[in-house]
Amino acid sequence: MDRILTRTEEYLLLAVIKLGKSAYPVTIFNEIRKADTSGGTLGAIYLPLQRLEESGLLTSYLGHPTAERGGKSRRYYRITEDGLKALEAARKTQEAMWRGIKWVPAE
Amino acid sequence: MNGIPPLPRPPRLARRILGRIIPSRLKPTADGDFEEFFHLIREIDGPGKAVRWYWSQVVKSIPSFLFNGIYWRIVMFRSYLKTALRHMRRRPHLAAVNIGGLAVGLAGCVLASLFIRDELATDRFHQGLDRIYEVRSEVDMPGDKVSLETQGQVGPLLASSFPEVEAAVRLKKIDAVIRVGDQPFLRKGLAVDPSFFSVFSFHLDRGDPAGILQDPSSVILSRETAQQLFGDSDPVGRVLAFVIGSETHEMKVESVADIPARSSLDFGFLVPLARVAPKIDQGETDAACFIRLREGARPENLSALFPGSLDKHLPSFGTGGRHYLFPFADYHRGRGEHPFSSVLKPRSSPLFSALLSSIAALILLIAVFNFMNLSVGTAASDRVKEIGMRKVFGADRRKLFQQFRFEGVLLSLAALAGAFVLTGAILPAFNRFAEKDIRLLPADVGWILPVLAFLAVGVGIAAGSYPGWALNRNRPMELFRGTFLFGRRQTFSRTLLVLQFGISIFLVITTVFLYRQHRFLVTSDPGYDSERVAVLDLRLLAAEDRGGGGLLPVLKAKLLSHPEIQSVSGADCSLTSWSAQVVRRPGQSHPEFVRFNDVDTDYQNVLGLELKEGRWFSSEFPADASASVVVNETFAEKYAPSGPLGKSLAELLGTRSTARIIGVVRDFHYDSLHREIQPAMLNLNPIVSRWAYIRIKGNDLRQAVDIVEREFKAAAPGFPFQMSFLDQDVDRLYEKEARWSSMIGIVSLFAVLIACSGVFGLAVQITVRKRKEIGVRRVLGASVRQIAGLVNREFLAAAALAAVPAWPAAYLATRKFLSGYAYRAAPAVWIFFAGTLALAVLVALTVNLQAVRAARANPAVTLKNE
Repeated sequence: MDRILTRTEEYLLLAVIKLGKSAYPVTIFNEIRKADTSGGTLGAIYLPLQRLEESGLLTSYLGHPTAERGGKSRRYYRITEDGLKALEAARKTQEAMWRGIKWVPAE
Repeated sequence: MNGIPPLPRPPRLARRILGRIIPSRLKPTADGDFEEFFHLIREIDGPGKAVRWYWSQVVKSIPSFLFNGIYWRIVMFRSYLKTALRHMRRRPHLAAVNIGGLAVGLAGCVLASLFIRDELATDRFHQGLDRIYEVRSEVDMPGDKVSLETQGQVGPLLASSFPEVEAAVRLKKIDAVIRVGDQPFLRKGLAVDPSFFSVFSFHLDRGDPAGILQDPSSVILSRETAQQLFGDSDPVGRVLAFVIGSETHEMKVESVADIPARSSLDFGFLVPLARVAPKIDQGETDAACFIRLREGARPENLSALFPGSLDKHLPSFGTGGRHYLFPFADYHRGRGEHPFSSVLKPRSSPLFSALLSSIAALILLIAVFNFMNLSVGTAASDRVKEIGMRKVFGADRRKLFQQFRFEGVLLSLAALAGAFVLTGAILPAFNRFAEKDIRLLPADVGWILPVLAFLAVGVGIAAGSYPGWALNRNRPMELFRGTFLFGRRQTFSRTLLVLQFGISIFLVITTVFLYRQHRFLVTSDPGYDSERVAVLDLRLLAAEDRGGGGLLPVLKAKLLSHPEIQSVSGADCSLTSWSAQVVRRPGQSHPEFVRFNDVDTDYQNVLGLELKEGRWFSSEFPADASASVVVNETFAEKYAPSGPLGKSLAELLGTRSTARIIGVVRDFHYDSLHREIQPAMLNLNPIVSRWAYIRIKGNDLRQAVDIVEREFKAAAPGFPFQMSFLDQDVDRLYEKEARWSSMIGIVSLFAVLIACSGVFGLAVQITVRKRKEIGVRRVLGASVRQIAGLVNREFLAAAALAAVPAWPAAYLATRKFLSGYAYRAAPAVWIFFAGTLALAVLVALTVNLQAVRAARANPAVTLKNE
């Protein structure tokens, strides 16, 4: 893995894992919104998703169009082997950075 | 179906906006996502909240989507760039030819634009330029009208009695020797009225423009003169000795004026007219006259007033006449027939601007079409498979277009950069030719850069669209098989090719003619020996005491004491500007001109004139000075066919002089070869010598010059030493021819280069198109030479066809050009053949670069894919 994931990318990958077969922008955005209640913009997740796909961490395929989407298809995302590796690396980095920190947050 | 009510949709306007901002690659899914989310919220929180959510999401997404679009465009751009560079690297010579051809075309454009911009900017620095007019008088002569500068009274009269005239100024050109200590400087300047600065807007260092030059002993120096005389120290207040004509004036420097580079009025200094020509108000002399009209004044009204009040102030030699106004602003715009002005710098001919811009436009046009041809040619040969591959992978029509357009623009911008480099390189030569001081500074380039950048991008897009379109039309499979067809007939390309060849042949032939005529002018025998003759300008000395003659014998004796000096002679007129005398022969109604010069006894000797009959002047015959003339052959043939010797001028010409002809010299060119030799005579007059001719012995010219300078300075201290060599003076007579022949030479070189690049592009196209045919012919046993000949044939046929209109055009153009010379190089038919042949050889070489390669291709490879 040559590049460090951004926080957004990390969240996106995690959301895609959690959602399994039903991961597409609506559910992914919903998933992130559940964890991070500060809001966010639906339009802002497309470019990171595209870039993750460019780097081979995600793959995507088109679903069928439905009426409630105004006749548009869903683009479903799935994580790849590389995506999992990248997440693992991100996690290791995270843990390594936290290691040895004595500060305990006040509940 | 009817039972289910249609789903409510998000607000239309918001949906529209979203549709606009979503990048194309997200189009199929992203607005669906938004709509689905809308329903999600509608079901939980109700429609009101959903609408608000939708709106806020659309607005908040705008930056993200915009960035998204830009991001992908950059990615695409990088991919295009990579492809373009890879392609260029694979065929560097092709890219170079393509860029170079267009660069040459654009350079012509840059040059023409710079020139025209410079022309337009000339004199613009004068405030209210449109209100400045030159006043001229038109004098009626028997059967003719002459435009002259006005009589002295006209200027003050205009200023005093015409309310429309804000200010009027008279100008006279004068030469002065300025003495600073012992150092003499010869400078050209103007004698003007104090109102000079009310008419013209030159910036003054010090002093109020309205109150300057009132003191008759004040002088204003130009910045350049001030620097040459005083260096960096302040000249204001310094007193200088001005030698003007035969008088010396003590003048005090009052101020320093800045003369912009683009001014048709140029001067080294300004002195009050009242000082140098005190009698001008009585109309003793004429002067250039400029006026500035008041704002709102109509020049036509003024012209209408002229007849009554001004026309009594016309030169007495005419039978009448009138005054008229000529707009100063039109002088450099090439509009109107501004007559020759004694005080303004000569303007460049408007014909030159027109010629330059049409040549530039023509070259650019050809370069652009070549650029397109080359693009198609290369696209056809190299890119076919790439395009097929792209189409297979789903690149749509637009993307393919984009790739080509991008490459077109990239190449054309590279060409634009090349054009500026090229312009910088040829600008010095061009400046010399056009007598300009154009520089490639950002301020001067001004609007030219954006306009040309726009043009270049346009050309790039056009050039990129054509091959893109031509190749894109074809189905991928055909591209792979190489059976695609485009531009099969190529009528357009061919016409263009013939046109280019025609222009090239025309220019090459014209260049050779011009060059030959120049060589002829410079090398033909002028009838005298111009080598190793130094010419000394004594005019200032002669003006001071009418005593060049007084000085010359002294100088002569001193000079002849040096073994390096062979002989010295004095003459009244320089070799190229003899005086003319009007004679009316008895029984002849028309007056005729006879050219004459006053010389001394050594003139024949110094210039090596050949005596045909009789004898030359000699000091042994003291009467020669008044009673003898020597004439040229033309004179003898025309006026004394029965033998000239001993005949008197009175009996031959009807003049009052009774001098008799003592000798006849062989005709020589006392004028440039533009003009025919006329009857001419030489008088002996050793008193007035405004020029000295010094023949030098041996080859050490430098030492001889040192001697002449030393002796001159000793004999005439305080006078500027002005010397030249006769052969160089003669060459200078034909400077215009030299400049034109080198300019046309450069232009034809460009034209030929561009034509060759066009030929190359077309050769690539043809060989690609005929790849199969060549393969089959090879298999059937044709040799490489035969096949290359096949390709060559088409081009040589085009060259032959092009010669059909080019020859008569070149013939007419050179004939017109040569009609300006009384003496011409012999016409030669071989030039027409040689010019055409030279082009044909060059074309054949260019074609063979490609043709031989195509013919060598292994037929097994070219025929395989069927």
